[in-house]
Amino acid sequence: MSSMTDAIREEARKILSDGKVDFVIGYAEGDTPIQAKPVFISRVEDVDKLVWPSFGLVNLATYLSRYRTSKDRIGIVAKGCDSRSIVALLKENQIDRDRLFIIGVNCPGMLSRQVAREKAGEIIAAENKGETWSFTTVEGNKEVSCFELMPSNCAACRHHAPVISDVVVGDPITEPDGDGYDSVREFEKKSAPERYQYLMSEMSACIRCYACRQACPTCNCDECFVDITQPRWVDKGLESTDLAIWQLIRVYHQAGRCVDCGACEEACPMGVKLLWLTRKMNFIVKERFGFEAGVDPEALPPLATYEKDDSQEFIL
Amino acid sequence: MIKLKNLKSLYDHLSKDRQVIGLKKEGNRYYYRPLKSYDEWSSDVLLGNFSPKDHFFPHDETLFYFKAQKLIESKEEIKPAVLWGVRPCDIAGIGELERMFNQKGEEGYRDPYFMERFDKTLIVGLACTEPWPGCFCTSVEGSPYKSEGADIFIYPIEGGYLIETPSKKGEAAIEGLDVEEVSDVSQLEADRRRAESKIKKYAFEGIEDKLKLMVDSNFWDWIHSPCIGCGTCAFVCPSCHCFDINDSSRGARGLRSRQWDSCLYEGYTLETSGHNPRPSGSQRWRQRLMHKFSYFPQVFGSYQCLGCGRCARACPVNINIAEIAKKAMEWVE
Amino acid sequence: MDKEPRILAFLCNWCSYAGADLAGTSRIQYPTTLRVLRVPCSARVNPQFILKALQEGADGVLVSGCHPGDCHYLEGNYYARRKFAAMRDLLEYVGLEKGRVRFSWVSAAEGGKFAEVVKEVTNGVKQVKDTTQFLKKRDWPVE
Repeated sequence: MSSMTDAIREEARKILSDGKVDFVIGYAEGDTPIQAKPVFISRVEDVDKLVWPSFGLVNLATYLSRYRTSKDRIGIVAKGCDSRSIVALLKENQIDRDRLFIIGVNCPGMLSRQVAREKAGEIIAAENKGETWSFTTVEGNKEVSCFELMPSNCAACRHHAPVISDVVVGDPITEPDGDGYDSVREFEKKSAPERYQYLMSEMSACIRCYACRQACPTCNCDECFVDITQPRWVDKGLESTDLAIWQLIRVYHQAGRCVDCGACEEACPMGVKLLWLTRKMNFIVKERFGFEAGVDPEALPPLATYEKDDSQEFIL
Repeated sequence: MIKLKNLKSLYDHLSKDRQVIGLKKEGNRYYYRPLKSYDEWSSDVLLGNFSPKDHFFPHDETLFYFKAQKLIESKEEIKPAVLWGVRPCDIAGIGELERMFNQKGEEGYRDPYFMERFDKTLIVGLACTEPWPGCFCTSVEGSPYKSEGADIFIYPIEGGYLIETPSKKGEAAIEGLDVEEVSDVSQLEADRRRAESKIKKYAFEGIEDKLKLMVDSNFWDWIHSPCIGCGTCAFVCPSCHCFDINDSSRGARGLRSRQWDSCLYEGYTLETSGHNPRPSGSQRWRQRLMHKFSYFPQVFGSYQCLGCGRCARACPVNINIAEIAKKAMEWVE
Repeated sequence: MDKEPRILAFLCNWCSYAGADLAGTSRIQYPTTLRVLRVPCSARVNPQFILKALQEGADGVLVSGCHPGDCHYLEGNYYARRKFAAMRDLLEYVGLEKGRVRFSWVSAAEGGKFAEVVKEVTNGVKQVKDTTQFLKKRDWPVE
């Protein structure tokens, strides 16, 4: 991916030296194995810190809400999913388009640190071997293919190209067949008790650190519903129904805004399978309302509008 | 000191009347959990996903129940336990929590919940012969071979283990164990130096004073940006101890509990009036770094950061507190 | 289920609540399982109310509003329809048993329909095998 790295650096160099932006948000090499490291570059000399990472499941658009009222002009490296988040934020007036310079990237997919942990265990060192990665772990050396390290959201992605950008780097990617929601259909074949059991057991690992919420670009409320005390929507603490409802409502609040970037699951210190829920939310929004987050800049958010003939087969 | 060929005899001896808690594999991660047998212990893992602090300072702890104006104490029974195979950085972390929750003097605060668990737990430490790349304990006055703070401390050597009992509690605990006394422990010095040489060394001497001079510096605006304010660093840290108290009630009945909190949350210092003394990420990061490397040393005499490196590994955006402290040392206004 | 189910019902003031009133004044008999919460419009119902009701022990939840096109506030029930569709699909996905959370459109003139809705929903809740799903565990000491 070194040509991607060079291309990104070149674009960043241009916009910084032309004074088009005050700083560029991109990725840098991590300090510890297989980690993505967002970096804010404000000087042309530092542009070589930027890389195109292999393990880069961080949605850089999450930083944009911070600059809602400031005057900074911001350059941002945006994968397909990140660019859709930017569209979602623009729609909600969280940032001005004219303050952004989007370095779009035709993203072939990222690898996931969570998946690497699942497949290899406690990783002490990692080495990129092209088609595979070699991990030094407490249980000896383990080699895992790049294909196996791909997270579920990248495997299901049908929007590799940025939907909005000022420049684009990387070769165009042919979208795979299918709509990417087969995992949802598979899960729906299970019985209700089995599905409920899965929900409760996945969420029982949650420790309410809110890394998922903070990593998500569209989770940007000034006061999150879990922090509100009047009324207390969800208690603090680790009671099992509170944990399940916390995540269900968080995902519900992302209806029509989630782009399946995978940042939430990647950020979770406990490895909770959050994408299993977010992908269903996106599926509901697509099937019921014909809407996909960030794809059409003109379309109104699905829950902020209606059609006279919306489906209502479930209503008596 | 005494010598043992294998640790199972020590484990069995201690587990007779205590619950053993040690690193156990769950999926492909490692957590400090109650062990049913010696074989459940993952002896090669250095640190595990989280520190063992939740044994003394649980994630979510009920303080008491109430019914109208009547208070009912929590009836959770704290059983005697052994914290098994804890590394020196985590032991130092427990020591700092104890200093925080058991403050001396007339006005000193003593946290009864923490102290009951602490008093009933035996800490069995384990030296690190193979530190991992993220470690930096030697830069914060720690060492992979530091037994201070443990009740029993294990040094792996050729053909077995050397056992030290730094405390009276530890001495009493190994009574009755069939052991071999050794007087020549000179090889430990060489082992210690070998292990320490594998650890990255930062120059943090004088950082507590340097930081005091940087309170109004724009260094903080420069370094805080990638932080997303998720709180994971505080949760995995062995010495972070902030908590939030919450009530959960239904009508006149309910309970008061505390949960882990993090100073990096935007709402951490939010006051009822709506005023927030630390509204920006740069102020919150300044607080975190100064708490670890300046305020805590000032009050308690040691760096609050123990150099375990868990935060950098767990951080979704790979912020490394050691690198930031290094940049602070090198900062010229 | 052995006991009589307890169903929390959110009824919109202008249509469904009036319809329920009409069922009463017309002396139509229907199960006494509902606990009614009157809301100005079905759009007032936050999906979190539904989950909170389940946590607090409601065996079932019913949300009822005006027919599309007849909303007293013109558009409320259109927005509500989308919210409820999204929430119920998500809840079904995570295994909430069918029949616990129901929705209806009942107008102020439909006393008869209201009674039928209550019968239908009550029967549905009675069929549910596990009403402890989402019930919040509170192990509080008795004294």
